[in-house]
Amino acid sequence: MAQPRDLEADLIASMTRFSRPFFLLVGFLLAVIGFAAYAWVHQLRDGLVVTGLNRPVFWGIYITNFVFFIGISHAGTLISAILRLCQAEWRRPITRMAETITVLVLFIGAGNIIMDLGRPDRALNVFLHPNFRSPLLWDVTSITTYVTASICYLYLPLIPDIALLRDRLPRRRWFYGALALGWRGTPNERHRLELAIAVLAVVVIPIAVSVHTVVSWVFAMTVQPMWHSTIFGPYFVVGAIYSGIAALILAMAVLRKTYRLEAYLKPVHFKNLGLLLLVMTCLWTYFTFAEYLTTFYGHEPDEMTIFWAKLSGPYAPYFWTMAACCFAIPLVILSLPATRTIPGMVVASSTILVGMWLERFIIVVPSLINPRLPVPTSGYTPTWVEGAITAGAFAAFLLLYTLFAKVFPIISVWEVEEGRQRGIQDTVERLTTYLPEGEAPPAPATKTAWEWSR
Amino acid sequence: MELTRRAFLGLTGLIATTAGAVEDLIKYRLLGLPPPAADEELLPRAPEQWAPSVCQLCPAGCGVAARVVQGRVVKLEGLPAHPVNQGALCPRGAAGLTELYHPDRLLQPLRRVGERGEGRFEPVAWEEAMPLLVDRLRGLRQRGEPQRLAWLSGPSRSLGRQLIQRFLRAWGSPHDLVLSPPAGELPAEAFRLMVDREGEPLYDLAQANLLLSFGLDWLQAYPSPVEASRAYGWLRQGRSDRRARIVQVEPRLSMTAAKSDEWIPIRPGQDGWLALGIAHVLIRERLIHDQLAQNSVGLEPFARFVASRADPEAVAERTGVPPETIQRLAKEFGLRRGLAVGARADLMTQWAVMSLNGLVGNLDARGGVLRRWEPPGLSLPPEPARDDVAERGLQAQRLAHAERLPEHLLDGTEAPIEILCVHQANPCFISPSPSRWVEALGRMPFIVSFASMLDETALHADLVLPLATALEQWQFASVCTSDGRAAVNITPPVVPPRGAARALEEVILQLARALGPPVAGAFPWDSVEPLVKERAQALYETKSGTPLPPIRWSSETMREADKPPTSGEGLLERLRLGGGAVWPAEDAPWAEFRTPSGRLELFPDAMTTLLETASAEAGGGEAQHAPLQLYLYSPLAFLAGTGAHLPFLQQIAGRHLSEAWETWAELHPSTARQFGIRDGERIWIASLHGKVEATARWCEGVVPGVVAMPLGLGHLACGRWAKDIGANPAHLVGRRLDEQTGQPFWQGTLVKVWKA
Amino acid sequence: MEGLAYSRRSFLARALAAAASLALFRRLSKAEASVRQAPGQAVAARPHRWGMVIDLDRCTGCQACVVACWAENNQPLPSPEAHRAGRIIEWMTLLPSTEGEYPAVRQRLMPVPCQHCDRPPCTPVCPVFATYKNPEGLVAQIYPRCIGCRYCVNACPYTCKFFNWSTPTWPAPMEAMHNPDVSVRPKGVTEKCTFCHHRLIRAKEQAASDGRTLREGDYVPACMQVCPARAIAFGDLDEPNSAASQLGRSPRRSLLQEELGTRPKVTYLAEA
Repeated sequence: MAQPRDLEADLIASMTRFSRPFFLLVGFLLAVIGFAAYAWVHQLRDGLVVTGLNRPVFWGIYITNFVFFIGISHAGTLISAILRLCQAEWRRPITRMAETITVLVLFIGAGNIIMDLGRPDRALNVFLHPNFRSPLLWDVTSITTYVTASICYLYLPLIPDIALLRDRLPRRRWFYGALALGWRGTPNERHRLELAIAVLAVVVIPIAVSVHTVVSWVFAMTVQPMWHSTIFGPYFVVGAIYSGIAALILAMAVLRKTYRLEAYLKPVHFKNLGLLLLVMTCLWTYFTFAEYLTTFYGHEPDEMTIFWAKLSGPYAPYFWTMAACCFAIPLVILSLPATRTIPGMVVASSTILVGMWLERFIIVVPSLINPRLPVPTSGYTPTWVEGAITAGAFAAFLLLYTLFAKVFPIISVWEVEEGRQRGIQDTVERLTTYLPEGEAPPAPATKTAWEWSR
Repeated sequence: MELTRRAFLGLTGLIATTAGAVEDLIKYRLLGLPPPAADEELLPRAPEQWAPSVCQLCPAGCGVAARVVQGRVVKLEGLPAHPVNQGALCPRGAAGLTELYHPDRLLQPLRRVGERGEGRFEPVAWEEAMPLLVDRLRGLRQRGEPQRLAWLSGPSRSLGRQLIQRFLRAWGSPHDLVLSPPAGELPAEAFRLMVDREGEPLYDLAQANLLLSFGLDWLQAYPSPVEASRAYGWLRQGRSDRRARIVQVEPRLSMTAAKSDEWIPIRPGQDGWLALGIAHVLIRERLIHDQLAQNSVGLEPFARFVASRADPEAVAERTGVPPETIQRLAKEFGLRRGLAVGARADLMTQWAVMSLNGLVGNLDARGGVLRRWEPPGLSLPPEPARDDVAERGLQAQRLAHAERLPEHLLDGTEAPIEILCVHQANPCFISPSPSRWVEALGRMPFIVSFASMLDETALHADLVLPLATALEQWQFASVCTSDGRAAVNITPPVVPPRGAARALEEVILQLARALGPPVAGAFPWDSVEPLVKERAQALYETKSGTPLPPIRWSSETMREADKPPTSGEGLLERLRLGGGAVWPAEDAPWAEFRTPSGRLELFPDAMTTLLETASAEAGGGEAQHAPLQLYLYSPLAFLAGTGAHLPFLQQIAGRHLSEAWETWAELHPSTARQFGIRDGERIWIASLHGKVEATARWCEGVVPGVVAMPLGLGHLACGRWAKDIGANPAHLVGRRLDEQTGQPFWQGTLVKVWKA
Repeated sequence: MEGLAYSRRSFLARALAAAASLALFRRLSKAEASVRQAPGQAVAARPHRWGMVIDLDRCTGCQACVVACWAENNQPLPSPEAHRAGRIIEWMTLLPSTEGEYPAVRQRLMPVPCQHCDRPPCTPVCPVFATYKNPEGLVAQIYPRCIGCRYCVNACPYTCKFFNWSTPTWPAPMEAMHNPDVSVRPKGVTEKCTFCHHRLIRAKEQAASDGRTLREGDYVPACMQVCPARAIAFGDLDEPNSAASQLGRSPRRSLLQEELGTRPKVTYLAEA
């Protein structure tokens, strides 16, 4: 039997190693963000006139980004919470990665709303004069709740790891010392922590579902054709989880490579997530089909204008690219065991992310460009400002994620350790409870079980 | 570190204050966002005045009410009691303030310093500018050649026009040249030949039973557009007795055609023949007026002519209107005693359309054709005797048509005109092949332009004199409504002129004074105000007319309005409060027919010769290379080719196609497909005379084989909103004029199109 | 307790004093407001419900209403750039439509102001109460509060709301023609037809100073006033004898997208 790898040492090594590519990456991302900031200042000075938005396309890429990023946020908290509640043992090395995506991406998503505001200087009016009848305020409420819950949910499991770092990295003690909240790892502390995590895991799931439901309701609560749809809530949630898992797989693949975590992120993790992704592919396709079939069958003229604009009109390239990216390609790759490899899944996840962004785009724009009244339209061509800010949003996410991985262990050390120590026993005990009553099972032999699990 | 509660609170406050200050710094200093107070700022309520004035954006003479706050005119509204517009305005009138406050208005006299047409000027003071003109004029007179002065005007009924005519008579030049716009005028020439040698027609639209329009987009172009719209509303929903039938004959689905009961598409330039075809059926089916034979002369030859030349089949072939439609139209027209309206086109067309009204007895009749008239006491007093120089000058051969001027100048034999004054006319922009005018003006020794904007013609002037706009000057002119009422507009300036602009009337008075006797003798007024006072006195002595009620009622004005005025000055006060006076249609001195025969002339002599030549019309040759016909129209926004300098009007001009700020060419889809042109593509349109680029628009409302384009865009000058916007299709039109009327043949130019 | 500057008693006393003065202030400001409104309230027995009737049979598509609205409400000047980008602001707009084929073509231009719905889809979606339906049924917009999210704009099925993509500017001296009764909007906020609400305020002031109630014709929006074809009627829809009410009962009546249940207060009369 091979000596178990020392995760702690591996992680700390990669966290304290600042290589040349790391600085190049950070520099590049900072440059992109700087350019986006320049674009934003430009937009603040001159107004949204610098975008391609117009009448009647009042919303464009910023709102698309908002919906997309909020969707990605479902990667983490929701998946990790569900897996935690299901006591899926294989979750242990990936929960942290997922939760981090959630927290960071929520800020990016909310930031895109700020970009979209005509008067960002008055954004606080939503707290001064809140109108709770507005789905946008529901959004504000549920997203702030989700951000809070997600931060707690990320932070709580971090505490033991921070305490570990406090003890291992004396030069960063001032920082970790404050964040560790005096964690000593007593059984009492552990018990309370686990209780808190368990409670949060339950709480965070409905919040997460509500977030994307409410995002979809921003559209669905209007009477605009192809927005005003009852399935938008679940449709958006499914899409969100779908893109979230794809984002998580990508993040895992990248970290595995750069942090050399092959020992912890094993093919089985990818395989399990890949199967989940396949399920979501089918679900998403089902919802999309249901949505479009209902529209087509009802054949309401205002809706059909938009329907055909998407399927065969100016938005057909986007629509069919989306269909390929979110349906055809991932379905093939994920169904065939031969392609359900890590590279295969990276490809599938990438196309899904592209496709899901396009899906958001063709929900937002075609409905607006074909209003009910024959208002003259002049198309929508995003400008460099919108492009720069979008690039900046992605860069900001990558930068924050990179930095996070340098500051905090991107794999939960104590949970993996716990898995090693208690996982097998817990699993066997749990399995025992499933088995029919009767013959007593053989007493669990730790060693054999350990080998079996491998 | 110990943190007391107080220190904590203090620190929080400090941080909050600092954050606020930093936020303010970023928001208002760095980003230039407006401070929150500015968003909510409403100007304090200041006292306001309402002053009457007259809109001058077309010759209709609508009364306007100007709202003045702190010396600024902040709104123009229709004058509620004014007989022409009755409180309403057309979009041009509603845009009037952008004319007054146009940022590119001429505010200084300009003297040319560069080459002619180069557009380089230097500003000069009036004291310098006037002598430049006066010395030139003196020189002409000293040489005994006053006839070498010509004055080119646009269509206008203002006091300025009267003063120009008076000035030219006193000065001794017969060259009072008036350029008529490509659309918007009524067929005066035919009316003068057939009904009244000095008259001008009016159409009593609101009372018509069947309104048959031959190419007159009367909703947009009938003077005034406000009256036309009001009449339309009345015809549709106002009249309780019966709903009038409205039929539009035009190659294009104009606004009028779109609102009509029936649109009859026709080939461009063939309106007259359709009218003759209808006349043919009217006579054949004996649908003409009972006493026509007694009341008219020329019925016999007229009947012979239409019988031989205008049977429905022949007309159908020419016009593209099916013979059954012609039959049906004629019957409807005869039975309902229709009103046929047409534009001031060539004489043949004018006459053919006007004769339909004659045939059914709808001349000088309610719901038919009425005559324009002027209330008594308004015309200027007779001029004193002229001197010999002037008499001799006036004997000189008068230029027959203003539009002929370039040809005269370019003939090369001798320059008949040495000084050209231009006012409210812009032939370098809106005339057939305007480049001919540019070329001709190059030969002109001295050109003076009176203008409020530096337009294309002013660009070629040696001296540009800045004119005041409507609200900055006295208004004094008579107007007629379409139902035959007459009115006089008398209003003082609402605001002083901007910059050094002056009213044309004042400039003419100053010019006359500077020239001294004998010209000065014809202008005994120091300025316009004493002139108006004198006229008010004369008006008072006629004891006729009803002053318009005061523009805004107050106890004071009401008391004033109750008492009849007891003097000319009192009357003027009343007129100034209300904006003028009105006379009922019954006061019109409608005389009998003022023709050589004293009766309706159905077949005037002029027509006999004309029709002999008309039969041999051009055609064939170029048709192969230029297979399409051009149809030019003037949207209301660009009525008479003007208006593109106002952004509001630019924006509304092409609403039916959602086009704006660009010249478009309407093509029937079948025609467009024939030439492989897609909707929205850039195309070239070329004729023998020029070519222009435009956006092709597929349009069901155009006769196949016709390219319809709006006039009014493609300026090289006229301020920021007009310059270099769109193209000017006038360049496509040749300079063939109708000999009798001097009207260019605007329609039917053969063109070809291809993708740009 | 010694460490604190305030004793409990002095703290309570001060708090009480503060509360009392606040209450007094609110009372006073309320009283002042009621004094200001008194004459109007005394005579305005019941709230009005303002509505418009547009007779398409009369309308000639001349667009005087569009221009008058621009001029009355200080809307930004149109420009070629704004037109090409689709950013023209025109509270009153005309929608073109063409039906049929040559030669049986029908072309229509339909004036469309804000429909001032009785159940507006735009007001509930505003997160900050910057747009709301006022007691007289006018759908209003509070420019200084609007955050520019454009949700109301997208929720409007009539595309009747407009957004200030940039700070509107007027070349000198064109600011001179600004209507002093209407605020100039800053960049980044939504705006819309107000039925010339400032004219209502004026009319009420005038009526109050004359000691009477509002009469038919006292309050008239600029588009109706300018219309040469008399195609627009305006008035109190709750007043059965007003011209707007009477015309609104015509068999030719229809509402724009009535099926959406927005209950517009702009009624259209069809071409006969």
